[in-house]
Amino acid sequence: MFPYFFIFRISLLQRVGLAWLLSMAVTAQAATLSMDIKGLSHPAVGMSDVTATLTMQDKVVLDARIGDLHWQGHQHQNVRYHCPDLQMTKQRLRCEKGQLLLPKPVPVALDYWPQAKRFKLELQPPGEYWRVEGQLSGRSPKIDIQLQQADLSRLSPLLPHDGPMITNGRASGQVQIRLDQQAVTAVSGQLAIQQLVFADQTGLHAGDKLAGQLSWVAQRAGEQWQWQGQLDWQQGEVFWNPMYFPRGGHQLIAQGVWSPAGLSVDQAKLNMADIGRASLSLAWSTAQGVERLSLTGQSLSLAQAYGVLLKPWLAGTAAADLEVTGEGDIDLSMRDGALQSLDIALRKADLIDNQQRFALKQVGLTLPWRVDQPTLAELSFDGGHLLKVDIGATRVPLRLNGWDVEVKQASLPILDGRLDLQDFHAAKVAGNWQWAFSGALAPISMPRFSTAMGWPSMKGTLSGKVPRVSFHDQILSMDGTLQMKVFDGTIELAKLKLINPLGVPSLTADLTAHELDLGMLTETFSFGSIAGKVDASVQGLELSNWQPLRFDAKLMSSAGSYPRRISQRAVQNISALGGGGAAVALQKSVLRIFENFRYSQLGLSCRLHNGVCTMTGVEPAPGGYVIVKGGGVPAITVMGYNRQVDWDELIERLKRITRDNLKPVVQ
Amino acid sequence: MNWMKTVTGMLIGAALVGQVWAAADLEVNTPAISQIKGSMQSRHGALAPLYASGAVGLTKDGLVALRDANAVPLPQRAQANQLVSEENRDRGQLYKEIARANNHPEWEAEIRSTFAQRWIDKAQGGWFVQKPGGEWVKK
Repeated sequence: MFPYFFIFRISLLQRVGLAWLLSMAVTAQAATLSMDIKGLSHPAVGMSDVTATLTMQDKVVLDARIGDLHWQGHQHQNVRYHCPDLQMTKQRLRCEKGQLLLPKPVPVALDYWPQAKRFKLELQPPGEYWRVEGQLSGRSPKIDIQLQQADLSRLSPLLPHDGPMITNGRASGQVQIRLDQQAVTAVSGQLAIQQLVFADQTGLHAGDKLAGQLSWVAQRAGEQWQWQGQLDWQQGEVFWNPMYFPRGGHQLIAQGVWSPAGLSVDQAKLNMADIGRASLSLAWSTAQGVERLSLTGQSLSLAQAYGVLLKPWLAGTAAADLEVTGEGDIDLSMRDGALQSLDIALRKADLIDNQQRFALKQVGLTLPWRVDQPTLAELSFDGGHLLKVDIGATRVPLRLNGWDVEVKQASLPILDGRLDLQDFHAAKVAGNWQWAFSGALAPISMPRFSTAMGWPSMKGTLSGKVPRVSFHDQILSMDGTLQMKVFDGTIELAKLKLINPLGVPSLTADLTAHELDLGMLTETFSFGSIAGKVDASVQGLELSNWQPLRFDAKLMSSAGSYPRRISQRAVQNISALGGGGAAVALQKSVLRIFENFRYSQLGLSCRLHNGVCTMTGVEPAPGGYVIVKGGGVPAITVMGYNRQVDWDELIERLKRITRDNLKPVVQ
Repeated sequence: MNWMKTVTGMLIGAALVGQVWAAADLEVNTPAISQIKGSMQSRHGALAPLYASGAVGLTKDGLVALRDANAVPLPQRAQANQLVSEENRDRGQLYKEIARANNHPEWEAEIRSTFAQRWIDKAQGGWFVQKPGGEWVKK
């Protein structure tokens, strides 16, 4: 036994160096040849730390280990290959029954023609076929790959670790790679893909059971790649946070240029199932993001476009949960991340809020928007409702000037009246919309309004001047006083502030009422009849999520001369409000024979704090307070004794009274 | 002695902080709070299977997070995301409202961290909760 060392070098391509360091040990039974191959390097593909051991008996056995394999930026460690019967001739190395020793061995047939610098690899895992043929010498080196039912999950180690991983999928087709002496110059391919499953670690970008056809051609010119491709996504679902595409039927044809500095897409044509066709172009740079984007689509189906493309972005807004029909066109262009122009046309669009807060029927919108010039837009609808109140056909002309929207005048039919809108002005300030308007309410009949709101039917009309209403920083506020004519008197609403209207709203306001007709009021609430007039005020009203937190409320007979009578039933009810007692006394006394009584003044106040209403009346009395003060014949005085009443209990009593009073009490 | 002063000072300080806290009523109820609690209660039915599967976990700062959407079927993934952000909006409002109802809006952060611990203590076995260092553990 004697050691034998030699080193030689083979030049594969000009810049592909292959250094061999061999040690050969020959014994009587077998000769073993070990080769330490220092490296096979090409900028695009290469390997290092390669050892190959040839054992020569009656057959030549090859065991190869590639310590480090790189391919277009991907690294692999410790790849092993075993060939039980290596055929060696001067022209050709051939191993028909080789195995790539991955966790599960993969049969790999290998052919290598050293002089022609040509190789062929055939991988045949069960049910799959991969053929890789390479010609690495001559004027146009190339690698051709043929796939049949190739398991795409094998590519996962090649993909970036923070991106989506392929866990399943089969591909059939070809990939052609062209090289020059420096690098890859062109890649093209046609693949039919089935049962593709991918997901990233968070699961926010994932696809399942995808099937489709993909073909592309990409050619390098210097630093740039010119590419064109076609994708036909036939089946399968994709969730690409926050959007979910439930099925295939989408096609994309696109071409463009890619370079390390960015990506451009010229005239891509997109056909989305059930939505329609759109074309887009894009310039995106790694440094600056979207430099230029234009998107055009005509006659798009709004139902699908809303559901798939828009809804995921509208969570938390008033448009988060709509039922949409109709069709629309869009044409937008962006430059350096900012919108330059936007044209939207909606036709026959129904927008119905699934939470029944609003609905607009047959919406038409013509919106031409330019970043640097004023335009005129128009919004119209045939009708709908807003918080259960019907609104009628409306046309609103809008003047747009950048992020500034103005409506000089518009008229919105509400029930049998209307809201005349004046000087509506909205602007986007520091990324947030704020708006303001003033106007007037032409008389709306209260019976219709109260029925629409689900309240007891009220008499009178609702009308008045709407002072300036504005919205900014999630606060809707009203300057001045809104005056309503109702129950033959007036109600004035002042200092109105509604905070966070789309979340948990809280409202503050002051309310004053003058000379409300008690007859109309008590009839409305089935309280028993009271003739007379009252003034009322609710100061410092604070509601949270429409439930009262605190207020200071007073109800008092109005000054002046008018009939003042109160029915026995009303007396009983008022007494019951104060916690009972008086009503029983009344029923037992001689006074029960009278239907009506006279009074000189009535009044009740409640200061609500921490869920407790502190009550007083017209004037204090021993052990309590006077709610109804008698005057004339027959006169009656109603006393209240409970000064502290739990608010929920009070509401419960009121409900009970109005409910029970639907039928008269028979003595 | 100096060290005694320091210890006494620390004890008094701790007692004072404790007193401030004893004053905070975490069970305080206002219409807004009961509305938020109602909304969270009705969402819980949809969230419970997500806690159980490990898709959603309880964070160290009193919120919930979608920690592994892969545990949710694709068509429900957007909805799971939505549930998480709605729940977080409610939780944020809840802490704010409780602080406000205590007439101490500045207590919001302490109330949040007290609740964070409560949620984690109350979490069922098998749910994922976040450790102070940020790592997720199965309870």
